[in-house]
Amino acid sequence: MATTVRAKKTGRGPVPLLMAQTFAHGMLCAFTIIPGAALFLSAYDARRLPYVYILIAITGIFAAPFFSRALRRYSVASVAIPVLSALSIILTACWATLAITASAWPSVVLEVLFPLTLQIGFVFVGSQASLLLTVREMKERFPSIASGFSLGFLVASLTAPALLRLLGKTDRLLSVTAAAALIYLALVLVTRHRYPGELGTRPLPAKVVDDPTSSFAPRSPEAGASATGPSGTGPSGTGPSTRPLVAALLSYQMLSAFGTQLADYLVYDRAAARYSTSEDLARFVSHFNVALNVVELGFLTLFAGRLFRRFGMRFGMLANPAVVTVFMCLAAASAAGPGAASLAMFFAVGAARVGDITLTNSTTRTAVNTAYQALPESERAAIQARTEGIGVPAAIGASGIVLLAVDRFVDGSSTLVVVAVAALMCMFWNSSGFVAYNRYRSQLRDNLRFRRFTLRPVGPIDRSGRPLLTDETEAKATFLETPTDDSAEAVALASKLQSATAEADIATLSSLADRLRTPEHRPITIQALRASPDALAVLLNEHAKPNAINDSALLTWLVRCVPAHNDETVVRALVPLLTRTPREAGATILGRLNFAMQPQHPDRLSVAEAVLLHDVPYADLVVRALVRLTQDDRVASLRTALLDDGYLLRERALLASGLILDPQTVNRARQWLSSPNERLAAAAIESLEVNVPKSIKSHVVALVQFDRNLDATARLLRHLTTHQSKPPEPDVFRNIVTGDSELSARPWTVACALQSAAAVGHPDSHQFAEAALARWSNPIIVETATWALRGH
Amino acid sequence: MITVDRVTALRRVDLFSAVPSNILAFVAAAATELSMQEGEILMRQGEPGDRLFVIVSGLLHTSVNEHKLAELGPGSVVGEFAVLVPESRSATVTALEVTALLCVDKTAMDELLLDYPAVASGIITALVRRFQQYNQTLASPGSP
Repeated sequence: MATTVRAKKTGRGPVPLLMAQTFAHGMLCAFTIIPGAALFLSAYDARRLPYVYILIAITGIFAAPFFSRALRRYSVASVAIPVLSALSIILTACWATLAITASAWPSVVLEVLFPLTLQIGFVFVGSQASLLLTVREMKERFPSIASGFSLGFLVASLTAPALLRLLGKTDRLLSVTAAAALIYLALVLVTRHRYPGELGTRPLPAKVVDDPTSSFAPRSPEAGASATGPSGTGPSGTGPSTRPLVAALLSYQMLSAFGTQLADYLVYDRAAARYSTSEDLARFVSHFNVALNVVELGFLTLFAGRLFRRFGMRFGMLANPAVVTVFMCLAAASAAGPGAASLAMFFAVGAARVGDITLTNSTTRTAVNTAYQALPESERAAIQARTEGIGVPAAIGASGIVLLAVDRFVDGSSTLVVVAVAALMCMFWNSSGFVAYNRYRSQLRDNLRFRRFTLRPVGPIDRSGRPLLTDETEAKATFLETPTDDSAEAVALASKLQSATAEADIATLSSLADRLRTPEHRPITIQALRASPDALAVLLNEHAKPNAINDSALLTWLVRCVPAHNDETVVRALVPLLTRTPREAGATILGRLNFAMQPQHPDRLSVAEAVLLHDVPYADLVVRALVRLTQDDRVASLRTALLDDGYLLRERALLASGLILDPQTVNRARQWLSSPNERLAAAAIESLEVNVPKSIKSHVVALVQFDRNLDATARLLRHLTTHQSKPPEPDVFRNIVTGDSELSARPWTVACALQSAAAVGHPDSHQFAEAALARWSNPIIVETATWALRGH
Repeated sequence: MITVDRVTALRRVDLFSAVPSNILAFVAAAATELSMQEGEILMRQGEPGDRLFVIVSGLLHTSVNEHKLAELGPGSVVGEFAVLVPESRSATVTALEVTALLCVDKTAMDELLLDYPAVASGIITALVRRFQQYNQTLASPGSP
């Protein structure tokens, strides 16, 4: 059926598998750091940790280019398999060395491996997720995927003391670490086997990739001729430059790593001062990790999703640095007041670390991985690997150098200085969060604005591909169709109009408007009305509430008389019509306002808000009715009528957005939303969400996404209309035919509801038909009700 | 058929699939119903024509110079170009079984196109799709 709403993906798709991967990844990381930290701290003391940080930087910077190149040339799974295999071999070798030689240096290897494994694991999972999910799904589901990591870390931390008792020695925990690496490896293999098309293929070079969300990848040979690399592409090439976003993400992640590392150091530094043996330290580390992961899981379950939905990417980018900054400032105050050895200081750095890890895994990773989605798919994994592979270790190394410098040059109050430096870096981290968020918004907007577009066949079921009611091209065509010569008749009409306006002679004006109904008079009438903005404004108001669809057509013609220039009189007359006219005519008016209102017009946002606030309650009714309708072919007419209303509301939302964003961006969003490609549509919705003002964000999203996910749209609309809507009648037919909502005021919808109720054999279809006959004189309703009463 | 059923039938047609159904109701109201028996000829090649036919039920077959071209079932349309630009029929169309049709003439279409730009846009979209498919067919391996 042509009107089928895009079905929501059935089942849970790749999320459980990715979650299982992050669970194994969490186990792997926990079983690396618990024995690693315990062995290292007991053998070398926390003061040696800065050297480890520098070693991490060297290793990361050395390995990242190879890793990035591999991801550019091979599929994610093809890179993950040898890396995880090598990791399990290294872990086994460390265990053997510790067991045989009793030397402590393998603990350095473990300390270095931990942050690298953490980053690499999330690059693997993030890259797979970005290939398997759309940008909207990433935002919605990545917190769940990331929660697997916390769960794995928690389970490992809870079981570590028991395993320690069972195995006897700390180093024997490494056997479990190697096993966790193998489990992770097996899960990557299973995921690749399940999704061979998405994960098993090599990334295509940008010149040939047909990447729907790519910001620059050309889609046609002629576009490909000028393609350049990802970083160097700019407006003069085939698309926008990705450099600003990559640079912003790099600085954000580096500052994040720097802040995190200092918090991490402070926790271990304070812990090492309190606990002396490796077993005590291992217990502290595992108990601390339990507390940390319980908090994290609680936050993920109860708050992360809601906060992310409510505040979006901005929250994802800024929550983490804000919380860590607060606790670091408290720690600085504690160090300066009660002292570095105080319990308050220990709690403050512990809380900073807990807050950091909690928000990193629940919001920051989701935000960062979502932000990478704005980059071209063919380059995404490689850029992310390079950024995280070099940037993060470099930041860790820099933190090591800072710590060594503080240790060397500051006597007595080194902890206080470290805390102060950490607080300062966290403030920079906050600023970089703002910058990264803004660059992400700009990148999405530029992707829409600069993207080249190649026509490709749209499937016959692509109902949403219906054209605009009005757009700039159509408006221009209308403008051009008006004869340019000043015919005698037009001049006479114009002068008659002006005098009629002066005398408020509505009858003369209306008789003139009637000429718009006859094709031969249209050009002259349009020309005359354009010459007399006052007369046009009066006529627009006169026909603002058309009763019949023919009057609505007349209003549409009147709106088409509005000239392209920003005539204040006419614009003032148009704005109130938006909520008084039928929505079809209102869409035409909105299109004209997009064309007529100047970009700096101060009323643009208020006009858009008025339209969206007017439309959302009606969209709520439409979507609730659609959710209740089955896919039964016998109700196809009603479903089609409701979907048509939904598409009309979507078009109005886009036109309202067009008042605020530039027309090119909105036109591209319209094209992408009409595409059967889910990734394109998700990118368009995401771009609109982050670029329209906060006051209309949810309204726009709810109206444009309705055919992608009815249930989610219904929830969002319910949230937006809770204070103004009463619970609808559960029987959708009764609700439409006998109700008093706006849905019941649409004659065509009522006729379709009558027909569908009779077609499915609704027990009250006769009652509905009688009620409709008593209420309506509309010929189509009368015809349908009579047909229903006759028993078809 | 009542108007709602006619609209449902028209919406199955590619040409009207992008036109909102409440506006299509005006096409449906202007359309006339036609019933054909098996073997009856709907149009002959070379005859002038300015009407469009939508197959509601049944089966038609088209032939050019007595060579069978295609069979058309419910949801198919015949004469979609003639209703926009009157021309000689390019094929002969015969009913293969009892067939119900909706007939839309040029006058009804012209009025609709003038008053409702959305109808014109919908038709343009459908025609562009058809040309794209045609071009793809030409470009595909094995095509003449």
